Order: sequence, then structure tokens, then C-alpha cells
Amino acid sequence: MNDIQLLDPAALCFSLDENGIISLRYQDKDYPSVQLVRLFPFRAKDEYIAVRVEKEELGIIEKISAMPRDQQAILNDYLSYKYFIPKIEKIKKVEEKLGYVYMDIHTVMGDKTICIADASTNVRQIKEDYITIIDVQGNRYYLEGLEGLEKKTRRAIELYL
Amino acid sequence: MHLMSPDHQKMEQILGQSLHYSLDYNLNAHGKPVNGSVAVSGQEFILFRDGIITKRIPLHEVNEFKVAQLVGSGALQAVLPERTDQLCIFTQDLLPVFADLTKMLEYHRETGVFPTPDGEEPVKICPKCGLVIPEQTNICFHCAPKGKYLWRIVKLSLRYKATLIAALIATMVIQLLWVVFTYIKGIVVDNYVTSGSQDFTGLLLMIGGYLLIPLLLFGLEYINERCSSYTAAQVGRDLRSILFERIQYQSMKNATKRPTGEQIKRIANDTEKVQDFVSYHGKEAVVRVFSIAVLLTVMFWMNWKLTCWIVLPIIAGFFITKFIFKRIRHPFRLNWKTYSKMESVLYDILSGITAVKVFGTEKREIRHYSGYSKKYAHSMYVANFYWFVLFPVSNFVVTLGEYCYLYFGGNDVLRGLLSFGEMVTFLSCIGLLYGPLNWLMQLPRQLAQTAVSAGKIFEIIDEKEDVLDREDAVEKDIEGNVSFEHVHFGYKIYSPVLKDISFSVKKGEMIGIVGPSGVGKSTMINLIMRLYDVSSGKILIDGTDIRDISQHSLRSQIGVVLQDTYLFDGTVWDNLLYAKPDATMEEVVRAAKIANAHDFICKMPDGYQEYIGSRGYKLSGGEKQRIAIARAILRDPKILILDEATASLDTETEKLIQEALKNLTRNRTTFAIAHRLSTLQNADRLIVLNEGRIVEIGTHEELLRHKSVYYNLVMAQRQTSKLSKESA
Repeated sequence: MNDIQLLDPAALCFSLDENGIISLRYQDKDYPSVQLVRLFPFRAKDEYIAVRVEKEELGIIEKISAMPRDQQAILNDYLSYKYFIPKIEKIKKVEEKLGYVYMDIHTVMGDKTICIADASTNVRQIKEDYITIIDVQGNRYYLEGLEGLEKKTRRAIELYL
Repeated sequence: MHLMSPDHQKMEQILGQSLHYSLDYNLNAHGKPVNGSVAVSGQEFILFRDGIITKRIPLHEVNEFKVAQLVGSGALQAVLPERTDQLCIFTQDLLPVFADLTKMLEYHRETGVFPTPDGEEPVKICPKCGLVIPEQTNICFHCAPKGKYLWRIVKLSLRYKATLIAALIATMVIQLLWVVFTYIKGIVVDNYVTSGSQDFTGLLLMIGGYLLIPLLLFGLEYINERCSSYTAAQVGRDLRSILFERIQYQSMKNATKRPTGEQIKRIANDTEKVQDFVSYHGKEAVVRVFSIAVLLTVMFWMNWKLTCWIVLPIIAGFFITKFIFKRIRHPFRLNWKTYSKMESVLYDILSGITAVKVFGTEKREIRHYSGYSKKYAHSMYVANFYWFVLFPVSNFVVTLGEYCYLYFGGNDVLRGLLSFGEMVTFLSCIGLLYGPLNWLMQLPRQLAQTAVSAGKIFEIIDEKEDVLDREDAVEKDIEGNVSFEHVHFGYKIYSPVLKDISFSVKKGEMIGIVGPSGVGKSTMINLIMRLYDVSSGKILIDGTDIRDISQHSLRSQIGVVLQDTYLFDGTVWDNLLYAKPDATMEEVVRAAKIANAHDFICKMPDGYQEYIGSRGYKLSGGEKQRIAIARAILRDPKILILDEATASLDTETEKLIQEALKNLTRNRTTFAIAHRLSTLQNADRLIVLNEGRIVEIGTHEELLRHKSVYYNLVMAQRQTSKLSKESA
């Protein structure tokens, strides 16, 4: 089927267990484990969420906001851990050493020095005020706006955008 | 030690039993940070959250432990008889350690033994700074001293000691001669100009010296240039050769982790920068420091007070310049970045000009490019503004010494404390001093750039290879019996591609490998060629583990025909000989005939010596494929690998190629992968893969009778082909 199957938000009943398995009851059918995929993770992270069972797509949720509040909370929880991308709250130091960029950052996970290889690829400006960073271990981070940063740090980041 | 949480002992105390492994996880199902641990005892898998047990699973109830890589996190999962449980969630950096844990648990599930971790940490940590060392290297770039790489370059240059020292001595003598030159100038002024002396013999001698010195300088410059360029060229050649050789011999894993462009850049650009260092910056730095030392000694000896007036503004100028460099570094780097961006946009648009025309997006692309061009122009303006405003200030401060000198020196001349000749000599010395000083101020930037290039070169040279010949690896004449024994493999430790693969193939058998896309078919043949080493288990050829056979011996007896044949720039003859450099003309023609390539080669004006261009652009896909088959025939391999060799060809060409392949596969052990299952009907046996495991083995007819995975694949393909015929 090539048609987009938009799911009826009122008919979706998700539940999330304590270890993060999300299950669904939809049109009188139980799906014990489903995967949710953000089709536009940066452009519209709460819209166009594909619901997949194994390799098949059940359909697409057009807007999370159209769902009941408790269902929204479940989906947001699941998506929060699947797309765990902590916000960089502070950049304390940026230095380039032999082509690798080292950044002392502070996120919700605490202080950390991250190493970025090939910064021109792994530091991406997605939108005017949204920058993503992927370190050598595959961890993703985001930075919202450059304005809040110290001038020195902002200038250092600008070089890789 | 990995697979041991810092709270390992604490958990042992809580449980009252010893643990085999333990690890910490850090996320909960709401995407919030938590303090959690997993522990493995002799019988159970236990989950802790904030030091409290939250779940216990008997190990015997678990069918499989696996790690799932999500987008921004990872999860450890246990496949139970009726469902899959997610045990814990963690950030991406913990994926390798959790994958290592699942490997241990899987080994235990199969053998009942808890293996001891091999001591090799899945994530390398720098012992000095505690930061992670990037996966593709063994160097901690955070700690690696730049000087270390520069010193290695110097050591490499010392291979050409004689020419290097000759260049160094020549340059030093040049600097000394300039001092002598200025000294003679002073003597001429004092003894013959201001005094009006009639001693023409002395004057002629001085003029002789005056003329001789430029001649000497010319000769020494020649020696310097010859020796410097020779040394630099040799060092550059050595580095390029070492680097190229290293890249040629590196394993597929290492070869594919860096893009081709990046490797070319390292061989071409980075070695060139190092070459520049040897021929110019490195040597000149020594000479210029020497030159400054000589000049200052002469100047202090002549008049220390006046020298102080010169040196003080120079020191002030040095600090101002340092400040300016710090200030202009950013605008210039930004300017360079915007330039590269503009260049890559230009390359992208021009490479895709057909798409631009087809979609009629010329105006959009003009706007796109103009935007970057504007940004570049602005960044250039800003950078140049700093350059042209700040540098005259610094130059003025440095040359303030000259004004001081003219005032105080002039006073000394008037008071008879300094001769006019001495003043002229001194002034010339000042001129000589400024040149090397300005040059040295820019040296740190040059050294840093050279260190980065040297670091990138030595990173490849020092890289640890993962597919190596054992010391006692043998050269073996292969017959063609192949067996896989419990082979597991994954390109990344946390994502296994092949799981527990076991089968045996007798020499001369033709084996078809089938299965949906991404199940590990190509990976399987990569392992036979030992482009990668198995993660566990072994592959035997005639009873010998392929890791005990030298890679050259193994691969020289394996022939490969891939879907996309790569032909090198050259003639048909050159490309055929690539398989067997000592092949005779007769052998080549015979191979081409068997491969059904002879006829189309005959139609080309220059026959076998027809130039087919880069990547064989003059040939069609089918022709390239037949060249590849002829190459494989020439090689006379004992094991043949056909990976989608007839895909994307028209029916007529496919018929020709099928015929050629039939000739080629006769009496050779053949492994064939084909998307079109009908092409594998003649295989002696088919191995059907699904989700990295062998799900069926048998002949085409046997598997159809089973009505399982292969049957479904065949039926699905027949349905598709029927539909496409109907729609046509």
C-alpha cells in the first residue's frame, strides 16, 4: 500500500511498561510491542509519527497533540528515551586538537568532555537556532540558539556551522 | 576492568552471592537520568535501581540476550519464550559494553560457561586524561603532544643527513655573510667616505669584498636550494610511500571507515604540508633563530645602549603581534570555512546540473550559491579589515626602535661617540633583524598546521590492524572444501549480522546464498575472503582455519565477480592482466573467449589494446562484466564468488554472461548470491539466510517442497514478475 494510513487518534490506546516497551490496542486488536518513528525529528518532532509493528507500518499519527492527554504523555515518554538527545546547557571550553574538537559541556547527565571527529559533518545547524552535535561515541546533543553562549564559545562553534 | 560496575561488591553484599558481571545503566523509560545497574550471578539476571533490586530473571528462561540501538539511546533486551522484555535503557556510549555483556551471556547460554572478559576494553580510554579515544585510532588527540609528531618528521629527515646539514650550513653562512656585508659597508664609510682617505688599495680590497660577497651568496643559495628541495622531496616521497603502502595493506574495516576523499587528502595534501616544513619552515626556523642571535651579539658588542633602544620596541611589538594574531585568527578561520562551504556548494550544484535543469531550479540554485558567495565576501572583508588595520600598528611599534636609534645614534655621532660608518653598519643590522623577527612571529601557526598534518599521517601509519597474518601463517594450495563452524560476526560489536552459521561445502560444489536484503549474504562471502575476521567461531578451508593461511595465499586462489566491476584506467589488456600479471597473449585470448568477451573486443579498433578509460567508461555494463569473468578465469581460482554478477543486465546480455559463468564455475567451489532466484536453480545447494541465521539448506526442489522461507521468496518473486509483465 502506498497510501498514507493516518491513524485515528481517538482510537489509539498505548501503554508503556516500566522498562520502555510500548504496546498498543487499536481497533480491537492488541499489538504487544510497537515502534514509534519520528518522520521529521527536527522539523516537526511531535507530528507524523509512524507506528510500526515488526517491519510493517500500521499507520501514521498526524499530531500527538490531537490525542488524549494521558496518551500524549505515554508517547512523549517513549520518544524521550528513544530519541534521547540531551540539551547542552553550557559549554565551558572548546578546543581543537589535531583535527578533533574537544568540548567541555554540561547537560542533564552532568559535566562531560566530548570529542568530535570531523566537526564540519558532526556539528550541524538544523535550523537557525537549533544545532545538533554527535560525538565520537555516537552520543547526540543539541544546542538551542547561540545567543545564550559566551562570546568566546559562540565564536568557536560558529567555525563548524 | 570492564563488565564490572563500581558498585559490584555492594551488589554482591545485597545479594549474598558472587557476581560474574555487572554494569551500570543511566536512563529510565521516561528519558530521564537514573542510577541503575544490571548484575549477572550464576543463575540469575538482576536489575537494580538506586541500589534496590527491581527485577530478577532466571538465566535459563532467556532464549537470547540482545542489544537494540535506538536513535539517541540503546536498550538491553531479553527474548523470553512468549515475549521480548526490555531490561534497561542507556545512552549510546554504553552500547559497546552492553554488547560485550550480551556476548558473554550468549556464550554462557550455549556452553554453560561464564567466559572471563578478554581484558580488551570495548571502549578505549586514555590513561592520562581519562577521555575516550576515538574508535578508529589508538591515539588520544587530547594528550598527544604536537612536538612528538614534529620530532618524528625531523627524525625522518635525518635519513638524508648529508643534504639536510649542507642546506643548514649554507643558510647559516648566508646569514653570516650578510653581517659581514653590513660591516664592510661601515668600514668603507668611515675609512674612505667621511675621512677622504686616498688609500686606493684598501678601497679596492673593500670593493672586491663587496662584489665577492654577492657571488658567494649566489653560490650558497644554490647549494641551499638544491639540498633543501632534494631532502624535502625525499621525505615527501618516503611519507607518501609509507602511507600508501599502509593504506593498501589495511583491513577492509579500517579501509572503509575513512571516506576515499579523506584518504586521498592525507596522501596528497598532508604529506605536502610536511614536505614544506622540511624544505622551508623547519630549517628556516633554526637559521632565523641563529641569525637573530648573531645580529644581536654583534649589535650589543658594537653599542649595547643603542641595542637596548632597538630591542625594547621589538619586545613590545612581539606582544602586540601575538594579540593581533589571536584577534584575527577567528575572522580568518571563518573566512576559510565560508570559502570551503561556498566551494562545496558550487561542486554540488555543478555535479547535479542535470537535476537542476530537469527540475527547472536554476533560479533557486543561483540564490543558493549567491547566499554563500555573499557570506564569503563579507567574511573576507571582516578578516582583511583586521589585517590592514591592526598590522600597521604592530609594524609601527616594532620600527619605533629605528626612530629612537636615529635620535640617540645621531646624537652620539654629533658628540663623536659613534662614527658615521658604525651608524650605517648598525642601521643595516636593524634592517637584517626585522626580517627574521617578523618571520618567527608567524612560525607557531605554521608549526601547528604541520603538527596537525603529521598527526593525521602518523595516525594511519600507527594504526593497529585487526586482520593480520599470524607469524606462522602458511602458503597453502587450496582444493576448495569450505566449512563454517558456529560463525558469529558483526561490523559493530552491538549489531551482529551473522549468528551461529555452520555448514560444509565440498570442493567443486556450487552454493547459492539467498535471503532478503540485509540478512548478511555479502557479509558471508566477505568472511570467506577474510576481508574481516569472524567475531567467534571459525571458517575452515580444507580443514585449515583461514586465519592460519596467509592472506595473500588465500586471496590469490579466490576469484570474484561482483555486480559492479571496477576497471582501472588503461587498456583491455592491462585490465585482464590485473588478475595474472604474467599471463601470455594466448592465455588472455582464451580467457576472453570463455568469458564471451572476445567478440566485442575484436570489434574495437585497437582490439585487446583498446583504451577503455577511467573505470572502463567506454564499455557497457555487460561488457565490463565479461571482462571481470575473463579476469576470474585467468586467475584460475579454486573458490569462486559471484555476488549479483548478472544483476541489472538485459536478457540478451544475461544469457551471454550466464554461458560465461557456466564455463567459469565448472569444477570450482562456487558461492553465488543472486537477487533473481531463477539464476540459482542449477546450484547444488542453496543456503537460505534470515535475520543473520541459516534457516534452510537444500536444493531448489527440496526447498520448494518445504514451503518455508525460500518457497515464499520464490513465490513473491514470481508474483512480482507476473505483475510487471501484465503492466507492461
